[in-house]
Amino acid sequence: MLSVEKLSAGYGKKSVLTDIDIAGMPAGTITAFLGQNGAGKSTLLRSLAGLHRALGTLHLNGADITSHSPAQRARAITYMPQSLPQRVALTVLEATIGALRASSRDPDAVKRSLAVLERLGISNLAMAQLDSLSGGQRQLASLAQALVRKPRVLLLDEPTSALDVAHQIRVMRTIREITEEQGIIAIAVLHDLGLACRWCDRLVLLSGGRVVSDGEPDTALTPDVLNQVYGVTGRIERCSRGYIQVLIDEVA
Amino acid sequence: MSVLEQRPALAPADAETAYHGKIRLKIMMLIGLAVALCAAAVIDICVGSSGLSPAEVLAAIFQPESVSRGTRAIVVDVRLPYSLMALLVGASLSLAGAEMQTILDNPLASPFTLGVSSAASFGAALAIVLQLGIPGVPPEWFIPVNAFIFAFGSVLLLQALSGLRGAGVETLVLFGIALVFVFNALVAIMQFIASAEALQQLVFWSMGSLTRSTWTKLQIMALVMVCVVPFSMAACWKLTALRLGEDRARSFGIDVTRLRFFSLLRVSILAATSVSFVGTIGFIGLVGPHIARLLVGEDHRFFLPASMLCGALVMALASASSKIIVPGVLIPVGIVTSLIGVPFFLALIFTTKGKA
Repeated sequence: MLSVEKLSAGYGKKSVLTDIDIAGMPAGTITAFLGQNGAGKSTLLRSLAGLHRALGTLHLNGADITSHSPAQRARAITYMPQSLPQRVALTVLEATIGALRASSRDPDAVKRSLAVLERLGISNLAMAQLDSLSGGQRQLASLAQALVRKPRVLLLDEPTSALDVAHQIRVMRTIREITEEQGIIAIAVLHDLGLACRWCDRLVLLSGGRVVSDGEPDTALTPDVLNQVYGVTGRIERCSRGYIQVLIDEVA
Repeated sequence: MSVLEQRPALAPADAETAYHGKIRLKIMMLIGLAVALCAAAVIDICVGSSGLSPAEVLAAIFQPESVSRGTRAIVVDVRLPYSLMALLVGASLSLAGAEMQTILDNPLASPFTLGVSSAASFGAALAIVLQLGIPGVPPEWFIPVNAFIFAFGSVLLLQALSGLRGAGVETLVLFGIALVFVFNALVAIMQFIASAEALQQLVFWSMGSLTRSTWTKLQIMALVMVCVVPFSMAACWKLTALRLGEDRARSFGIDVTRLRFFSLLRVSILAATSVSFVGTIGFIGLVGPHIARLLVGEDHRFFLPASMLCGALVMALASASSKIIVPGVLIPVGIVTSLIGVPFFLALIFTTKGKA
């Protein structure tokens, strides 16, 4: 269970997040951070990862990890940025082993890395160069680097950005399965409300650095919240298969 | 569906075998480079203007009593230190370039593109033109000591900037380029006020030459390498992880600021020592890592040693070429390395542009 209390952060004198409270996010679930550009979603995610200085308290399974060093925090929390850098002369397997060996001397690093690649269905890409991968494959390779560290908390910064529809679903389904299987607390910054409603257990909507709405997709996302967070008028409806659909009518 | 997605599934056991096969290939590559390096070093020692045959040269090294005193002096006091210094300086500059390219995430970074050689030139110019040196240092050591201090200081300046809040690697590279212009301008002032004799000496120093090699300098250079290389190798996994992105490396628990600081410290020691002993030798720090990257990739367990071997190999070949190009004339090796480096540099720019 991960909880955030009174978290505030900013850049210089500019405040970006103010008194963010997010009560227990349980293991085996995905929470989506949603909001307009500049709402503070990525800053919140980076603050949880310890990559951005923030005030407030962070509890993981009852223990206060706020004052943990970056190395201590990295044992429990792994952050997956939006994309892998370009022009890296490493294979998918080398990069996965590198992610594990960066802070441990695991003698079974090769076997563990291969097991993760197989679980993600990309063991056929083990010897492929990172630069030769398509967008969806790069995201899965990136996910492998995070999962090989066996994190208790997985922070994903826009994992589906720049992916086509099929790869968006493949990546989100994989994250969903792994999260449940391994009891990971997953938090993802997303822009696609449909994806968030379909694959996430909980939505946290931010606006102006504050939490506007927090709860299960059914309750957290309402026309009023849409208006308040995104400045649009819209409807929340279910399709014939029962998935929540967000229909935007107008920009308010 | 992309071509890659159509690849047949690879069982973990097969992938593990393929991985270990690739590791063996990289080890063979390192051995091959080492053999090529030995061959290049032998060629470098054997060629020269004195007309000694390879047999005489090898006899002077392994059976000194079987050759004349003159032959022994040429081989032991001139050719051996020159050739060994070429290897050490090549390895040192290339290792410095490899680390710099990784920590700055910039394939065009090298100790020389970031102002180290320009700073060293200014330090040398102060000694040559104004006879300025550190009190207590013998006058014959003014040039290398001044060059070392300024080269080391320029990297410390870069480090100080990297510690400033909000200064990213791009800022660091831009600051390095600014340093090049500042120190070049200062050297130009020194040249403007220098006497004809001092100007000639300064110009020759800035060309980069192995003729300044002595056994004492060689021992210092070797000691520096022995002290620095183990620390570089100890950081190899962290440096590999840094190639996956700074945020990702931080989230793996790596203190990137500390990693970058100690890496720049190693770079400054390697580059400053090299430049202070042989002057400005460009492009080795750029070319060596690039050849190594093509051969073994960026797993730094292999990339760092391969960079050292490639740098030393190119330097040994440049040193031999500098003695062969114009018979009887020893061309400053810095000119030869630049002539090799410029075409490579242009090819690199065009390749990078094509990918963008």
